[in-house]
Amino acid sequence: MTIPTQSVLRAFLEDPAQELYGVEVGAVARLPSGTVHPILARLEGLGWLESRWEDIDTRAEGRPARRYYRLTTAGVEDARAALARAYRPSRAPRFRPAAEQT
Amino acid sequence: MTPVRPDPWCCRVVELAARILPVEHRHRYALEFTAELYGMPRRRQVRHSLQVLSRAWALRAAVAEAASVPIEENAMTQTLRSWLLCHAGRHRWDLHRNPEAGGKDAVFQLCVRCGRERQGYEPPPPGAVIGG
Repeated sequence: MTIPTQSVLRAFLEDPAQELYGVEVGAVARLPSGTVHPILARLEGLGWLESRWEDIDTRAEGRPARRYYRLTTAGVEDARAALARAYRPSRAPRFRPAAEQT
Repeated sequence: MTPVRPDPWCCRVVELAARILPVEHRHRYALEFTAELYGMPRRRQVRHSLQVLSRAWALRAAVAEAASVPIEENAMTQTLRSWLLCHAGRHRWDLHRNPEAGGKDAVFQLCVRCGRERQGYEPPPPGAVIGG
């Protein structure tokens, strides 16, 4: 799993019930906005995410409805398991004694 | 407060990005991309729309992957080069066999890049190796 995909999943897992639209996902995951949509499409294709159009009065709001994404019930479990598998602690640095100065 | 209408040029850029996608996804993503521009400062709109356009091919591959069936697995990794080749008629045909049909109708060719079936294809002579 790529690092950006992990960032997107973590953004959703911060509050699994929360719905986010593309730009918000990019802001929370700290990713360039363009990279987010391919990841969202893949996760939606896997059934980890579901999306819906925002239910607003577009005239009153003065803007079109946004597409909101959220984790599915199965997606929450799958995302947590995938992130746990993807987590690899970095190797502890090896400290070597400094060469003795003469 | 009513959000500021997005810059028309930025709207065109995201609509162009949506046009790169398969036909069945274009309308949805054109609306989605345009809706995201509302309320953004103009400089951010420019940056966002260009980023969306630059990643449109990755999105195309992602939506194709989501809708693909096994025989079209290769089509989901379609690149700009393969897309251009297929649109220029330079397909990469691969032989397949339909297990539910018999005789010469059972053998057909599909492009491994775009999944298109070859029209007017005549099956190979008996004894030829058939992939699939």
